[in-house]
Parts: sequence; structure tokens; C-alpha cells
Amino acid sequence: MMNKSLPSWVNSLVLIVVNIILALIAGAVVLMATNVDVIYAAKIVLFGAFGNSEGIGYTLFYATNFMFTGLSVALAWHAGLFNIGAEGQATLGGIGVAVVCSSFENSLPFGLLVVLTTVTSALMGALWAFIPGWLNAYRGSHIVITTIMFNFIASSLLVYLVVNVLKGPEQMASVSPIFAQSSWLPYIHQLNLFGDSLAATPLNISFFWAILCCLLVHFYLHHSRFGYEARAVGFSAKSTDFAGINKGRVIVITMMLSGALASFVGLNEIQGGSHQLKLEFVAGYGFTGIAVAIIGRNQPLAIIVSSILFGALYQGGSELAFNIDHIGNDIVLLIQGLVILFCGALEWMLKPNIDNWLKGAKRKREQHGFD
Amino acid sequence: MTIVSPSVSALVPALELLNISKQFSNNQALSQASLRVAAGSIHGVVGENGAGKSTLMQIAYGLEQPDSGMIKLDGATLILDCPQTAITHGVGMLHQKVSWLDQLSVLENIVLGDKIQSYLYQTNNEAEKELRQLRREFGFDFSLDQLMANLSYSQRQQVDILRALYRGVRILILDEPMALLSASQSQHLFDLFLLLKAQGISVVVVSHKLVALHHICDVISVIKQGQVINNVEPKDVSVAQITKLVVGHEIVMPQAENKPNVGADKPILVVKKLNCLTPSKNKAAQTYLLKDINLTLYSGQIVAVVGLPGAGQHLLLDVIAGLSGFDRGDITISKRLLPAGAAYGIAQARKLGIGYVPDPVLALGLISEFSMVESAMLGCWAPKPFFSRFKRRRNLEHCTVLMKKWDVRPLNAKMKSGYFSAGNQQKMVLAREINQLPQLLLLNQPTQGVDVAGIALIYQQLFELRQRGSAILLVSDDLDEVISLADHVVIIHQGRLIQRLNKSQLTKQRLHLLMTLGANDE
Repeated sequence: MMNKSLPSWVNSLVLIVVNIILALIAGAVVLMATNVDVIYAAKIVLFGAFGNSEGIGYTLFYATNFMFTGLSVALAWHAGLFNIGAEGQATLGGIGVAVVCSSFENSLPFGLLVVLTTVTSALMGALWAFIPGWLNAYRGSHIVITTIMFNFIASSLLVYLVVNVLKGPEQMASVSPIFAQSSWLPYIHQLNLFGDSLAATPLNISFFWAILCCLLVHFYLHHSRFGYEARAVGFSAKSTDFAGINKGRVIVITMMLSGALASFVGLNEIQGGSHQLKLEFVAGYGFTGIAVAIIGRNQPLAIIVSSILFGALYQGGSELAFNIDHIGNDIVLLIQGLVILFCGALEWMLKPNIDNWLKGAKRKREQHGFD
Repeated sequence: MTIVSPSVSALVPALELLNISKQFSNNQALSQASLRVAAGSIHGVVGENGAGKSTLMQIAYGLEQPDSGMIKLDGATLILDCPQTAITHGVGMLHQKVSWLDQLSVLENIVLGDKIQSYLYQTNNEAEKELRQLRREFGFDFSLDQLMANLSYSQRQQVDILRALYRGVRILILDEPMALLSASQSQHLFDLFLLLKAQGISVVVVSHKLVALHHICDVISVIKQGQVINNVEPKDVSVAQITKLVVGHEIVMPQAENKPNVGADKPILVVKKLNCLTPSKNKAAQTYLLKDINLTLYSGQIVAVVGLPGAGQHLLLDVIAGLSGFDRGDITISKRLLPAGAAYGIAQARKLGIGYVPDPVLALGLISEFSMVESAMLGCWAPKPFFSRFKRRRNLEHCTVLMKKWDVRPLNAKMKSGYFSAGNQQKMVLAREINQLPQLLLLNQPTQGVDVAGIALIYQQLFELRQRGSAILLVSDDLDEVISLADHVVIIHQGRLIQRLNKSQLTKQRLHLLMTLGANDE
């Protein structure tokens, strides 16, 4: 008598959906406590995120950032590394993009400029991840501690550069001047993919680059030698000693790739979105990337979906703050925080219950049959 | 079909596992298996690797829940949802890997997990009194005040048994308890089993060592493909008959060919004046772990290094494999000289044609989260170019062929390595290493946890490899294995090679004497 058990991904999928629903219920309770009609609020969030081409544009623009940082966290996770430094690596990427754009905005043809900004931001991000990676691999420093510290250093560096170097002389605000339009990444609404019916949004071609990165990382992890070695190190660092895998090299390379992925937030935000270097452009995308990776179970293809979920929360949430007077951005942050809490910190809380529930019916039948 | 001979069923069954089924992902580990353990009996459980022995025992101890079936203790139906429940009902289990807190005494380790009477002031007086009583009664040879760190493996195992007794065990399950014991230690354990039996305690022993089981057990249950197919009493059957029940056919152990294909002019491994010191800054405090080792292996030779635990044989393997550094001397592998210094790295060693099978107790040969296909590539992909894409279909086919050849079951290359039984995992590690056709194969306890048929297969493959001109360096605690495999045996004692014996000079007694006394008997 063979009883087919459910494939394991069914359990994880149900678990993720239940966790998200729980988070939304908790969010609803808070909204009710502040005298908001929850159904009305839900409609605003959903419509704001997916209701029209403007909403979808913003959702995908945010999702692009989440794909980069989510991939960064996931890739490091596969090698057993917890990269909390996506925030700092993204900051460095942004600095790289801004420096290249402001130096070569008029002198280089656009194609070459894009290659140059991409490569520069990748190198800057990789460099920022290389140091914690090397320290972990060869000197035993804890990767969580060093990457957090590097976030602080990166943000100080950004402040220094913006305020003292990049800010134009007659500017009051702490931002760099806006780059020449020739250096901007093309907007998707300008590509006329669906006629010219799309509303103007900051969504730009780095969205496609993000999707391509997801595919590349998937390929890297599951079909290449280095990805194989990285996963081997992540699962059992001790076994790899016997196999002759150079653990230190794997850690350093993985961290550098992880940093490069996070740095592309700079492409999307700076060369694609605001066209100038702002102090707070990373805005927590790096940290939220951890939640994105967790919900995507660290699988690059699933991260596309979880990024869109978070993009929708960002966009729908800001619509909510815009439409209901006494709701500010803090309520939006709170709901996002709840999703991270239930899907990240309390990820496994309901796992036993759900496993039992999925098995439950069948087992009950069998036991009755036996008696 | 279960055959229960009258004399067994006449005894009161203390533990009954009835029609137990259990499935892991797509692998049916047990289907309708039933086992009855009589009170005060020594009950052997035998079967091939992956037959379901360990799963059945884990269910009896509450580590795994059956999909269907019933567990009865003294006739009452029970649900064992966790080991804690099993322990309160008098079921205890000893694992192969015993984990203890080294810096606490035996007594403190045993009372760990007891109910705490007071958070301010805890005394173990009563426990101590009870344990002293038990220690005298069963003649354990350690004191309760000794630090765990100072006990040998065999003594730690006995501490485990003492703890089970202290917790009021009535059914004691042991998984491969003799695997890491010497002959005399095993005998000591068997004496203890008899004492337990006299007290009415049932002992369930899972093992591949059929001869030993035949010697001590009252009943032996044979598990095959997830079912208990037979219960026999050793007085009625021979070891060979039990082997036939386990395997399904008779096993002939392969013998070494009389004319080994030794290339006396082709030394594959030359170790000269190798010295290893304890790592310590203080020069005066350093002692020799390996001293003046000289060893040469020629093409087509199997050489075994035997010694007491800790004599240095494992370190010697690690040094040659490039996992540990050495202080003086040099090693030449396939004409490449490797000078003293830090470890040269196993990647380097593999490039020079070394295959390495680590001690199965460490479980480091495979990565348990990887599928068998992925584990089968571990350490073998180095020559492939930087971005070579792993060809999925080809790897899957390759792995399936290997699994078929080595009879690794279940034949599902996509299953996670960790879901395979220990013996099947070990066969896969050997399959992978031997398939590389290494110039020099380093083996550490190659057949531990492998069933009789598997051992025959392994010997056959090793002899074939030798015939092809590879050299094999073997470390094993199983002297029978050493005698049947090795062309030469070198005895290691306190880090020195003290004697080299030819095949014709080998007897178990002689090896044992040399290992323990370290004396040159000529």
C-alpha cells in the first residue's frame, strides 16, 4: 500500500500564504483600532498597487529594488552566509553610478555609459562585500557583525560625498545635481510596448536586468561549478574539506557576487529613478531584501514573486497614506514590519500545525480503518 | 509472513510493534512490519542496509511516528510521540554517536535532565546512592566522579547503559553497539547483556555482526524490504543460514588473487622519516604524534595500518591525504615530492591521483542535503573548466549506473543523500572514489555499517582496483577485514611503525598482541 505524500513545496507554499494572511490580519486589527474601514483600506491598497498602469509601474519599480537585494541575500545564504550588508553594498553601488554619471554624462555614448555604470556599481558593491567576506573566510570574523558595521560606514561615506563633494555649489538640499538627460535609463512607458497607454512612472529598463539577474543566479546556483561549490559549503562546510573545495575562496567569491547584486539598486534608483544621488536612496531596501529572500525560500525564481509582493505593499501602502488622512507612512511601515515579522522571524511558528493539518485527514481515516 | 516458533511465543512479549508502516518522501521504509520482544530476552535485529531496521527502532523509541500500526507495551496500546514518553514507559535506546558533556562528571551527566528539586541548592545524594548500587550490581568499571573526558568510548557506552538503568529501563535498544569496540570490549558488553537479561530486562541489538549476534541472542528477527520476514532462534540455525535469510542467497567472500599484480618498480607512495608533533608553542612540551614513519606502497598493493585507537593511524591517513600538516620528513606521491610544512590540501592530493574515503562515523563523505546525483560529484569535478555547466541528464545517468553497480538502494538518484541508510551512503562514497580509478586509495573503516552482501561487493571492487595497478592504504579496526584484504600489514604503536608483516604471517592473535604490547616479537 503506497500512500503518496505531498511534495514538500506544497507545505512551504501553504506556510508562506498562511503567514502572509496572518500578518495582514494583524495589520487589519491595527487599522480597525485607528477607526479605519478595513475593507475600504484593502481596496485602496489593492487598487493602488495593481489597479492601473501607474500603480503597476510603481509596484514593479519597487519590486526591481527588492529583486536585487533579495537575490543578494539569497545567494549568500546558499553558501551559509547571512549577508545583512545589502544596504551598504547598495549605497556603494549608488555612489559608483552617480560618480560615473556625473563625470561622463556628456562625453560618452549612452550604450557605453550604461555598461560603465553597471560595471562600476558591481565593482563597488563587490568591494564593499569583499572585505567582510575575506575577514570571515580567513580571519574568522562574524559576517553578520562586519556587514552591519559596513552599512554604517557606507552611509557615513555617502553623507560625506554628497555634502562635501557632489553637491552643487548653489544647491541648498543635500543632493547631487541632476544628471544630463542623455545619461538616464529609458523609462518603460517611453518604450511604447503597449502603444503609449502607460502612465509615466519611474519604472525603467533595469527591471529587465533584475529579471535577467534572477535567471542568471538560478543558473549559477544550480547549473554551474561555482554554484555547486557554494551550496556544498553552505550545507556542510566540513564535508567540503574532504572533497577538496577551497572554502575560503568560495566564501569570498560568493560575498562579492552578493554585493554586486545588491549594488544594482543604485542603477534602478539613481540612473533610472531620481537621476541624482540622494542621502536616503536605499531606504531600507537592503533589510527588506532579507524578508524577500525568506519568503522566496532563497530560490531566485520565487524571489521574482516575493519581490512583486513587497513592491505591491510599498506602493499600495503609500496610496493608503495618501488617501486616508490620519494614516501616515508609519502605519505602512508597520504593515510591512508585520509581514517581515510573520514571514521572517516567526517563519516556522505554524509549521507543525500546518504539517499536521495537511496530513491530518488521511491519518484519521487510516486509524479508523485500523480499529 | 511471520513464523514464530512456539518457544518464543510462549514467553510474555514485553514490547510489541504491530503492522508498522512508515514512508519517507517516496521511500517506503517499513510496510506492515511486526516485531515482538519477549521480556528478559536478548533479541537481535538483522537486515540489509536500508531494510528498515533503524527506522523500526526509532519508532519504538518515539523518534519517528509510524504512518500506521500499533505499539504495545505489556499488552497495553501506547502512542510514543517522543523519546521522553518512551523513556517514562521504560524503553531506552543507545545511539552509535554518544554525546556527553565532557567537562562534567559521570554522575552529573547521568542526572542531567532529572527533575530539579531546588533551583538554589541541588544535591545528587539520592541519585548517587542509587547509582552506586547499580554500578556494583552490574560491575561497571568506572567511578561516578570521573570526568567524562577521561573515559574511553567503550566506557562512555557503558555510562549510557547505566543511565538507562537509572531511568528504569525495561527494554534497551542498541544500534550497532559493537561497531567501535575491540573484541574484548565487545565480550565485556555481552557479559553485561546477560546480567541485564537476568534482571528481566529485554535487550534489542541491531547489528550487521551476525556471528556475534548468533552467539548471544535468544531470538534473531530478520528484516527485509521493510518487513520482518522471519524470527529464528540461533540454536536452530547456523550463521550461514541467517546470512542467507538476510541476503536472499549465499555469500561467498571474494578472495585476493594469488598473483597480485605488484609493480615493484612503480612506487606510488613513498613516506620518508615522517614526523608529526603536537601543536604547541612550548618546544619542550611537544610530543610526537607520528615518529620516523617510513612507508612505501607499490602499484597493485593493499597495505593495512593497524593499531590501538589513537596510535596514529588516522593522523597518518590525514597527513597523506593533505588534510594535516607534518613537521619533518617528506612524502612522494606519484613521483611528486611534497616537503614538510602545512597541509598541502586534499585538492592537491586529488590532482595527484589520491582517492579518500573518510571514517563513516564522521558522515562527511556525502552532503546529506544534496541529492545523490550532486553528492556523487563531490570532489570529482576539479578538471572541468570554469563555467562548465553540469549536464543534468548525463550526471543522473552516470549516478544511476554507479548506484546499480554498487547495489545502492533505493535506486533513486534524486533522493537526498541523507535519506539513504548509513550503509548505502558508505557504499556510495566508495563507489564515487573507486570510480575515479585513483592511483592511491586511502580507506578509513571502509565497511563499517555495511551489510554482508555489501562487504562482499566492496572487497570485490577493491581487489579489482588493485588488479588495475592502484595502491590501497587501509585503516580498519576489524582485524578479520585486515587479514582478508591486506597484502601487507604494518603495526603502528604510539606513533611509530613497529613491524611489517606479510600476508603469510598474519594471524589475529599475533596482530592483537603486537597492537597492544607494541613489542617486536622477533
